[in-house]
Amino acid sequence: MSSEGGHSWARAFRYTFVRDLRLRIRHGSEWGSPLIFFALIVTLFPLATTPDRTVLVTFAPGILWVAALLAVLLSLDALFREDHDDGTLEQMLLSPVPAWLLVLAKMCAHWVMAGLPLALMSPVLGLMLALPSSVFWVTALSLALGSATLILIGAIGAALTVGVRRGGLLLALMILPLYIPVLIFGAGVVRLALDGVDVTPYLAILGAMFAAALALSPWASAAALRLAHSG
Amino acid sequence: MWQWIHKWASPKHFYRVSTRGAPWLWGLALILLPVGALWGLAFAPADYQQHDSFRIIYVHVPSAMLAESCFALMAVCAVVFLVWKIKLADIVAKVAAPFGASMTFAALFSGAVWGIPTWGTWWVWDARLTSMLILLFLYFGIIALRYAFAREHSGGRAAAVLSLVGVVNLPIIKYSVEWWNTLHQTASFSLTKAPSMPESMWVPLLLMMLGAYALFGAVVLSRTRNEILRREHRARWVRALITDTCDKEH
Amino acid sequence: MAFQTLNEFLSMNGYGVYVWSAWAMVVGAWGVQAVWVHLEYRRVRAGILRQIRREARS
Repeated sequence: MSSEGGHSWARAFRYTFVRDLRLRIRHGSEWGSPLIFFALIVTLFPLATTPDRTVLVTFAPGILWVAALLAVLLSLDALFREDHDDGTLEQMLLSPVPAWLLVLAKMCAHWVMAGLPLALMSPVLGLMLALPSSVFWVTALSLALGSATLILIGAIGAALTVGVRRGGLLLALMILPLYIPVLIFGAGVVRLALDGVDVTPYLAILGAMFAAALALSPWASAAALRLAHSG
Repeated sequence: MWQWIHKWASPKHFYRVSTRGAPWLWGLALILLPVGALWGLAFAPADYQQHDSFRIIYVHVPSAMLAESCFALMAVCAVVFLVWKIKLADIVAKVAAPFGASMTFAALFSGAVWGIPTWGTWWVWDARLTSMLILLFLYFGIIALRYAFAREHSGGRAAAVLSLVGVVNLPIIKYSVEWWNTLHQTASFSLTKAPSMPESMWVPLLLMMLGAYALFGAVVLSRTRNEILRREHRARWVRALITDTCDKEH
Repeated sequence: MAFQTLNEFLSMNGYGVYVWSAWAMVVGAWGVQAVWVHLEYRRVRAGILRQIRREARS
């Protein structure tokens, strides 16, 4: 009995995940825009400050991380909005499969489309910011792990504002303060790597935050979505 | 037991019970705060290091404590509201938020002003100041979220969820800001270097703190009562009560 | 009494600007809250009275 239940859960998870991925891939602009936004913000910083490579490299971790954070924030609106508008979300909440599982599947798909690409893109932008190639791996790793945490935390905010007409700025206002710990340790990882210090303690903290967010966020987001739907 | 709680938390019952309590809280605040203020401003001896600028502590510490207590109160109310659907908790959370935000701002302002004579600058990225600033942003987010909804009930529930998320995050934020601060090594100041304050210094501080809590209680209680009247304005007991106060005036 | 003269008290031995502005901010915030509560009560009461009268007329 329980194995059968587990089986259908896994199928529901896989189905939601694949469906979201397919929808995203079809709408090219949806997953492309955050990436272009990321590159644009990174471009703005040298233009606004200095092209001096020795100065830029000290700012590089912060610039990369702030830009990635804003790109994730910008992409969050796509997480639930469309499914909410066409009623799919309501069906998901009514289905016998627990809502947190489906929400988690959506988050995973979102990370593949909006989080992971940021990490993969970071070496190119790192080059522009005079980041030495020795820290590329660590930068990408910190962004991959960090963006997952950011999406998990942000999903709660996206779920809360899904019923609000113009929720974009409100979402930023709510979520950005909660992003601060991830930002501190995420950019800290890159900075430590630049200094040639062992980064594992910071990565471990980043991982701990990810684990905590993974445990709480799907459940909290599902509850928030339920609130938004029951009126 | 449950019946008792629900009866107690019903707006009507709460309004009646609190009618007596509210003036007491106001009175307590009105006694404690002026006494503490006069004592702290005029009678407490000047600090041997910070001289008379240390007198800011008598408003800075109470407002900072209220800022955090208020957030804790909102989180407790959020649990009560979400789990037991007690509307009274939502009302308390709603009226507490602006008070907490104003106290956070007041604590930041008094801290910044205090920074000039002690550190020679308005602002340092000290761990306490930074986490206080983030707390202020959290308050703004919660208030903005509540008013973004057309329906009062939805706004209340969304704000409750966000205050719970905020309260889980608050220790993480504090801890990470402190860590970040030690990493930077720029600001190695600490706000309260209390080398065993003499009695004449901490008694007025205690008075101010108690007075501030009394005021906090009085403001939240009275505004809760106002909000009950506003929300229940169709109820017969509210009508009767209001016309009663009207008759007394004439 | 920590001060000899009133002037000394007002200037806080040179720290007057800081001490008084910080105190004004915090005490002002408390005062605004306290006044706000009473204005709010009056507004709510007036609103309910208006509605009672309107309903009595109709």
